[in-house]
Amino acid sequence: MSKQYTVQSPEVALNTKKKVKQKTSFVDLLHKTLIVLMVLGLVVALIFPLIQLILVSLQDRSGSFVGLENFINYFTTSSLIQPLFNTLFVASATGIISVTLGFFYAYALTRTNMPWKPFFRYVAFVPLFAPTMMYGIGLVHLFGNNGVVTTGFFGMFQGIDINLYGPVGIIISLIFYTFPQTFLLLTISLSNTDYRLYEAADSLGSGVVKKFFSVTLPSVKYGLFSAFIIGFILSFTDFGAPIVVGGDFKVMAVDIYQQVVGQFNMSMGATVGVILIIPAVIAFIADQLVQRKESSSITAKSVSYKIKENPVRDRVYFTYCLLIMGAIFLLMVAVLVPTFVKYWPYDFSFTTAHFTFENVIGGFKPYYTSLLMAVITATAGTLIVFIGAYLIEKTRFMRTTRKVGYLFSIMPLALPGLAIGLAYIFFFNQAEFAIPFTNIAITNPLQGLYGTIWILVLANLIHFYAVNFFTATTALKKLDKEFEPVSESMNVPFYKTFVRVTVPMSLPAILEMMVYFFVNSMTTISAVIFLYSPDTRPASVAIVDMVGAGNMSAAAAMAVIILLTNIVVRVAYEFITKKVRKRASAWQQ
Amino acid sequence: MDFLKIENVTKRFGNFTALKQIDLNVQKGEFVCLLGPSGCGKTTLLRVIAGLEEPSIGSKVMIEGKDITNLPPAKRDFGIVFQSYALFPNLTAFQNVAYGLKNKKLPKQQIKDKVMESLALVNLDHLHNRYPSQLSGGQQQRIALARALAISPSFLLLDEPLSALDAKVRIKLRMEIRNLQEKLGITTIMVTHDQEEALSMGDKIAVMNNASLEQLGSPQEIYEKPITPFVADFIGTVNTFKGVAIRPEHVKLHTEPKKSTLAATVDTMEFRGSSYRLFLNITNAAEDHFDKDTLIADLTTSEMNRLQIQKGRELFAEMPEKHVITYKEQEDEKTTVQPIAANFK
Repeated sequence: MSKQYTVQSPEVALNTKKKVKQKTSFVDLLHKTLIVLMVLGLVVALIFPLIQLILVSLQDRSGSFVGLENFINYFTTSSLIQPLFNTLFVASATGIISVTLGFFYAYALTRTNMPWKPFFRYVAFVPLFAPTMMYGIGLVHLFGNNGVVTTGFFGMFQGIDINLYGPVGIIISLIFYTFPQTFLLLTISLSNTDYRLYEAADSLGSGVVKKFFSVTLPSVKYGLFSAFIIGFILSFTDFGAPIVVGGDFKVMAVDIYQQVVGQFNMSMGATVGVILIIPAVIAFIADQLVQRKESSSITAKSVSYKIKENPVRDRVYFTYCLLIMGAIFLLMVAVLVPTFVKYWPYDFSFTTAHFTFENVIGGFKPYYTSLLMAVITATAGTLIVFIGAYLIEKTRFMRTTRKVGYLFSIMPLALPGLAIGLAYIFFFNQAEFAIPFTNIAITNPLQGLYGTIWILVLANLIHFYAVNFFTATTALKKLDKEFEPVSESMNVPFYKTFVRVTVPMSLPAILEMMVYFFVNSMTTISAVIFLYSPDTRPASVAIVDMVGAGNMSAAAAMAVIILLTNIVVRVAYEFITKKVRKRASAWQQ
Repeated sequence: MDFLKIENVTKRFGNFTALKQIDLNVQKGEFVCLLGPSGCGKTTLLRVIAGLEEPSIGSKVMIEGKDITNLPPAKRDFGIVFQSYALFPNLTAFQNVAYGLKNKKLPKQQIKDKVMESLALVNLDHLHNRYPSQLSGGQQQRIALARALAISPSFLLLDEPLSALDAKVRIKLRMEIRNLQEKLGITTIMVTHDQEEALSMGDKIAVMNNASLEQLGSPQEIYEKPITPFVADFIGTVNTFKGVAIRPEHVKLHTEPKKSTLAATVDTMEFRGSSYRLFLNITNAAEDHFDKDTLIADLTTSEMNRLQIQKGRELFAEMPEKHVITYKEQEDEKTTVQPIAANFK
């Protein structure tokens, strides 16, 4: 009755590297098919477009293969390479300043007894919810040619010109943009310290300054590094800030855009796109290596930090946080006030007309497009990424395939949105693909996506894939790894346990992923700027267009609407998570 | 016929060999403990039996004469309890136990009866509405056991089921699991690294080391007639000299020299409640049978008082011949073992 599978011949028996293959039931077949589909999906949506991007960078403008000529050309032509230096400068400066500001802000929240801590914590996150163009717009209202500060409050005082357009404007915008991320990372870093080290330093009679340099800084050095890397990469690849306040100071992101959209020089655009990826990849790998080191420094025996009484310290840090808060607040006011003014800074009569967008971009269509795009990305994206992470984390077969899937899943972390957008034009706009070394060409079945909202959704999905993948993986790792074997032993198919246990247990993470997808899809510009059609222009692109046409107040109004939408979604998320946690408290300790 | 037959099971992870040609037979209704230090391959063997790991080609796992080597876990008909219990935290005790039954498309009432019956087996039917987090560690463990038994499996696999529990609960659950297993007569294989647990629970113990099976036998056989130095040393304490060994409790101490006794002085004494453990330095270790000069001996407290033993005192150790352990020759790498008497004379 039983099928004799085992082969007894000695030469096969000796080959112990080969495994016994289990019979595949229908459920297992389904499970394996899903894994294959997940990896294939990433190949089509990520790897193929990237290959296409690299291929185009190796071609001249007529499409013939020229090897590394574009790259040689880039690195030997001073006008071409200048944006690279500019970008490196802007990104390094932003990284350093943002980490410094973020460090003391995080220090104030974790290591002092100052009042208003929850308030400071929440407000520091507000910049996360706005497109980067918004900071530029606010800065223009304050420090631009007709800005409040530049003109000395319209001639009342002596004006101050900070030379906004150029590196100054870009760096200030990007500090606002990167501050929440560096601050958040450093808060985590500062909370993970071992108080015994401070007690030891105290018993040795170390002073405040000595303790800061010999205990505090070393214990957060990896956090500082990671925070700098985050600040650096975000600034290195940002498009929104330089397009508004960059002036003639050209950074790579704007350069790519101008090469492709302005000069139709696809091959040079692709070349700059590839070069834009390289520092991000290096930084990403360096960060991964450093993070691996960090995980060993805190042990279960570590004692958490005890805040000592020190009113002077508390007052100093409170003032510092107020100043930061004031800067964020001032910028928000500078964005908001001109949106209610007829013709800033000449006619100050009140109006709400800027919020109709009637005569600038034809009404609310771009906003609705963004909303639709964000909702689809949030639902489909969360579903796909969570299932993808589940298949990689919670399956026992297809080890190699899953490893490949993991690698593909974290790759987008090192990919700037512009590179994804550019890769997508080249890949999805291609009518047919020639198979290398043959004369065969296949028609591109995905060309139909081009120009629809779906390509925007797909670009966002890939752009924000890795962060959500990490969120999902972290949540899944917290679940007992024996849930699946136990279910299997009871002959319960994997999808039942997925629906009945895995998803309910991971609900907070799932909601977090949805919000992340939504908020970022609403604000992103870099991935979508190349991919929209007149019919599918998102709100963020409309902002750039309005800035370009000089409609600063309308652009600011759109930025405010995006910001408010995101805050509403975030508050709704907090509300729902509270409910979920309350319901879950029955089965949590 | 053997209920479970494991033949030539080998498992590699890359270049690491986790299991090396394991052969093991289990009779119906037997409770077999897989015992060994961490990393010896015992859990891997359990997972191969469960089908959660695929062994190398040439390996064979058979249940009642039927080859199941290439069957997936779902088709093998076993219940399993893990060290972590793996209870679903968002489901009540009842829902956890019903989990595997729901899938069998049984009538609702039948599922309910079966669940309550299983919960009654582990004496927890009154807590069926509790979530796992509202139960103690021992209770969670019993719910996990009830869940594994509810599907009426043909055999039971336990992967270090007690090691996450407090010492007292562990000892209580040991007996409960053993009694339940005897009552149901279900063939059970349990992985453990705790020799006391293995000795007290198993009908048979399979001692594993370095991916290989060292010895399979009843607890008494394993303890009294270990066939390798590893087994002797892993189960309990043993004095090992060249080729022979003796358990500390079998060493007899005298205050006067006798025929074939060893002179030794008391180095340290450990009080263990009902007994003392003595560490002695052998003084006449000139004879080349003794490659070690320390001897461990266990004495009851009353014996200690009778002999009035103190630190530094010279005693004479006798090693009764019937308790001396000799190892089987291991693939002719060992030198010929001399007659026991010659060793201690």
